[in-house]
Amino acid sequence: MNDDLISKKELLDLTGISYGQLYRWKRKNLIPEDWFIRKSSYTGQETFFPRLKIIPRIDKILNMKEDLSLDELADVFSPSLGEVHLSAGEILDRNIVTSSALNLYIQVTGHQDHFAFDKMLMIYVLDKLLQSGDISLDEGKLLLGTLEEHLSIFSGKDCELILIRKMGVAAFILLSSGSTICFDQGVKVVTSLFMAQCTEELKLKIGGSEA
Amino acid sequence: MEQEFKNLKINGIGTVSGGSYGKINTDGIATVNGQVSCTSFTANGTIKLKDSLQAGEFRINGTGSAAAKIGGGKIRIDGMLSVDGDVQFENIDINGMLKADGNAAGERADIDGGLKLGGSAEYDYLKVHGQIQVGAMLNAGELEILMAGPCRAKEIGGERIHVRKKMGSRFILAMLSSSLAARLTTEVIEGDDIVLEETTARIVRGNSVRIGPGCEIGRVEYKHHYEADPQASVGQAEQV
Repeated sequence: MNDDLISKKELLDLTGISYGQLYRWKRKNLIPEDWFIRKSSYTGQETFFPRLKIIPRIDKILNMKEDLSLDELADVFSPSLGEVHLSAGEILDRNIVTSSALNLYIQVTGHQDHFAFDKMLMIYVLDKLLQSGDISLDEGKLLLGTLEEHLSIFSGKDCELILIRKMGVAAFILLSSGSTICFDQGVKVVTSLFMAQCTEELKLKIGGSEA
Repeated sequence: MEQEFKNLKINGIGTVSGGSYGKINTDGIATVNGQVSCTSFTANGTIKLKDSLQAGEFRINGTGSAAAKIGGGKIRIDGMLSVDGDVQFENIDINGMLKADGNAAGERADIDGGLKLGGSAEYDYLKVHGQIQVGAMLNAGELEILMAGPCRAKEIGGERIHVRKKMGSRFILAMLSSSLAARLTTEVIEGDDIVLEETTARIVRGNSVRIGPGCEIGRVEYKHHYEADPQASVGQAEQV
């Protein structure tokens, strides 16, 4: 594992950036603190980075910084994003959701480009349920309708999404987390998702920490 | 919907529990027992925060202490504040002294007096007139230190790093003990444009490096430009 480290000096030579740039990016949280690994070497203490994480990250920063300001970039890489907008192409390029989920969303809402975080969250939840096989495409439309209409009520708070079926008919329920809900015997609870957890998963995906 | 919070005023000696407030004003000796958030906080006299504080603006005239992290938009200290945790204000203006066990980060810091940190400091613009002591890394886009006392950091990194000694400062103190002299001691300095005076460092790396009088540098690595004062001692300098 230790072989996968790159020294700071080697990194700067390889990427052509300066110390100042490196520290500026660190300050802007484009490079996480825990990627700076201090180790003793023959010249005293030196800083090393995980090679497989830092090089793609610096490439991304160099490629993206012409289109985005550093602060916008920080939002992209930050685990606590608020204001992220991605186009349909970017969402697919970065493998955030599958094209079938995205297409269904566009078909239902007519929303074409610049997806804000809350929109992406809906598509992400849809994608998750589609992929797990819990819902059909038709039920996906129902889900999107539910989320579009009601998810904003829970903004800033966690809520639970429950999918039930009774005699083959699906129904989605959004309820504030921690509340108790009881069904009659004929109801089967297909799945339940906590939105806060989905938010976090999506942030990680957008952050590209596992590039 | 924006919620309206109540203002709070303490005159004399008072204790208050935490919570969300609009403006807080204290004159005298005040203690806040719980977590507190407010739009502005002005403390005249002595303020004791037993838990964390989040304030749009925080102003201290006198002395203060905080047992956990404090943060917000702006902080101005005229006097002295010691914090057991982190200090996260976008703008920080100190006339006097700020001591914190944790890290400090923000956009801009103006220090007239002293800043002592157990952890790291990260600012886009950091200007110090007096002394600065940082336990870990000092990282600033623009770092300007006019030393009037001992300065320390484990490591310094940034874009523009200018360290100078205030003329004639603490001459008598320096005669008494070298640990009181206006001098920067650090292990590594890395930046784009570096100008140093009265600095002890193991390694200095930069695009353009100027080593001024009184420096003791083990090794300089530079890219474009290097010059050293005859009154400086540099072990070796290499263009890389």
